[in-house]
Amino acid sequence: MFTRILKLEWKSFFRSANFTKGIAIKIFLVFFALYLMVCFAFLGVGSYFLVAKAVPTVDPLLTVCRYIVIWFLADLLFRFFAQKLPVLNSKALMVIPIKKKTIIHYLLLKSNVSAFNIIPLFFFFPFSIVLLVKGYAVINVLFWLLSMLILIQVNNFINFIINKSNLYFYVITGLLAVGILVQYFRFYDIITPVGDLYFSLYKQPFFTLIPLGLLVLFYVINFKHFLQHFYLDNGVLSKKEKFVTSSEFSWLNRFGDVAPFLKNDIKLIWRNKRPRMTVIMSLGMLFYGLIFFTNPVYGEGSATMYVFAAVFITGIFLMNFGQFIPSWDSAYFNLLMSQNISMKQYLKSKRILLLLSIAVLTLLSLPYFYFGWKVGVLLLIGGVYNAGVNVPALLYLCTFNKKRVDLAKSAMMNYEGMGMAQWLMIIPMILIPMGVFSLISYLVSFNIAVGVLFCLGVLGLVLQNYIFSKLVNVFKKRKYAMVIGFQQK
Amino acid sequence: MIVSENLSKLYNSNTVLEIEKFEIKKGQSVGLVGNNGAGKTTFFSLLLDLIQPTTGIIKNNGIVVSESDSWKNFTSSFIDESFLIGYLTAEEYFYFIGELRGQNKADVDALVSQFSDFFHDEILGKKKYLRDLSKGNQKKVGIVAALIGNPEVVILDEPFANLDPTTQIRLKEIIKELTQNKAVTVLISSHDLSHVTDVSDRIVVLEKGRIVKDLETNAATLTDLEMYFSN
Repeated sequence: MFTRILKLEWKSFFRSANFTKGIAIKIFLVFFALYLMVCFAFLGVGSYFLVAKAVPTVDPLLTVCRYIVIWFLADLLFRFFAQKLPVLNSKALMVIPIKKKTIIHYLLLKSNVSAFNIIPLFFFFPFSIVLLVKGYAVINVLFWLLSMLILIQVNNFINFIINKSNLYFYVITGLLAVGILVQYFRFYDIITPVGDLYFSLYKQPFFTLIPLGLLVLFYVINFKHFLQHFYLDNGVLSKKEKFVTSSEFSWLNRFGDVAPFLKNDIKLIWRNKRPRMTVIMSLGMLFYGLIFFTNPVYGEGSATMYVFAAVFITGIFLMNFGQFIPSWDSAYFNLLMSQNISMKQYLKSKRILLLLSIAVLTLLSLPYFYFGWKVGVLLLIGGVYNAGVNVPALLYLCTFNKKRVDLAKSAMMNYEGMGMAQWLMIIPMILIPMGVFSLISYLVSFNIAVGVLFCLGVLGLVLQNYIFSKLVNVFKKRKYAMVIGFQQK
Repeated sequence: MIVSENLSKLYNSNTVLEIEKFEIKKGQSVGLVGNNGAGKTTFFSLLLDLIQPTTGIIKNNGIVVSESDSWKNFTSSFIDESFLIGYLTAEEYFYFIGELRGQNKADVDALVSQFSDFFHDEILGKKKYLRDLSKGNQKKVGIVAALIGNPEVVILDEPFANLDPTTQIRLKEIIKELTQNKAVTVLISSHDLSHVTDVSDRIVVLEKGRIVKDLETNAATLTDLEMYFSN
């Protein structure tokens, strides 16, 4: 029976729309995976020596064990947000004669095939080899490695159950939160004893039974939970219903004929997982500037990296959200195209949304003035450049968007809707401002370079009506391709 | 009101629609019938300028639909769930459509309240997003939204499908009320021959993209159609 389900999976993988997505994205993903593997492998080889140097008095393995506690916590956190739990086309399988238990075992085992379970191996294997080379007892190292591999699986199943059951979510996150608070306020040092426990997995090979027991426990918990809830209306296979309140946002009415769209876009962002996560991540990226502005190296000479940071910070929403205009509306694009609105109004509403976001982000980044006038001025210039040049440039690139975006999916590691536009965006967003700026400040002076960027932005704003009417025509031409593309799931 | 000339749509030399001349008079209610793949939805999509014709043009009240947006002022439609915004509640959706069609909240409330029996207490005040409603209830929302703002042309693709019997009967009354003054042009497609003959002045039968029958509705029409489709 397993093999039959496997065959179905095989087909669903190779026949899915994702599989046929652009070659550029595939290459990017492969490189990203390789990059992670190499990083982890380096970490695996290097951490022994790093730790031995940093804490010479303690057995390096013990130190690493203490850090691994944090690793597993971070791993769980990251999994919770990013790991896609396997779903089978369960509805169809529920009614044909396959044992429920078989399907559930299959679903649970399938979750093992995930980058989250594979990439850590690139740390643990090299690390264990280093241990062997350094003369640690072979049997003990092998059992310690085995324990770690089992603990990765335990994390996998913990993540599974807290995603599926509110009860376990509150209990486990509650326990973890208490632990973190206790540790943080130094009521009691938890990391050391837990780290020692991990170390004892090396000392006493038969202690491996403990992680093994945990694994069995969490597998059984998951299995029982699924078996009890393997019904359509039960939250395992579908979402639970929530009651919602209508909202008005009448303060947006001042924007006249585009107000209905602005209100809609705010609801779009607030009520759907992917755009909501996109915006939250954007706000988090406001702190990205700290990397550049706290390090005086970037501020020397022409400060090109400051320009990058300034354009990036004031334009995060523009980039993250703007890149998928009009794909955000793909589910109901036909409605918008046949309702009583012109393409011009529709695009105007998007432009106002983007301009508003730049204004808000520029205001929010004002505290960076603390790092000096250079930073502050560049942030303001970055805002003007984004508003004048990048908004029309991005809207133009958006005319190439014709891939559907599913609003309900997570935004992390989600490449749905990616196309050529997302790659070309780098040119006006990053290459042009940095290139122009560094060239002019090299040839002439910093002040002139700032002036040029400012003038480019202002020029864009002055010409915006002209550029905008051209854009509307391009959109009108591309509309039919979008209508077809957005229908394809 | 609606005129098409020399209209055709080809996909890779595969003709899905070919209509030489077709005209719908103002105030007429026309039912489009035909088996799957006959071209009903293609015709609607062309009429709404969602796809481009391979040859020919469609005019809606004298406006070539692919050249100007102004037909949208007086035309409303509900084709499928891609006309619904899943993350809005029913009320929000009605107000949104109302705003686009120049209706304030009071206008929309007044119109929607006429359909309380149609909604059967399952739509309004339910605090649910449209995406969480059942297919049938979603359809009701879409159909009522298509009546907001006094449209002169109403286009509904298979409005009877997925509706319960009570609502189907009520929907027939709604369509009849809409057309009784001969001011609103209604274009619907359906697989339900008896419902569609009930509400239409004229029945057009499509087969493989061509018009094969064009009948004024009378007492014998339903039998005619049943004869035609049973062969």
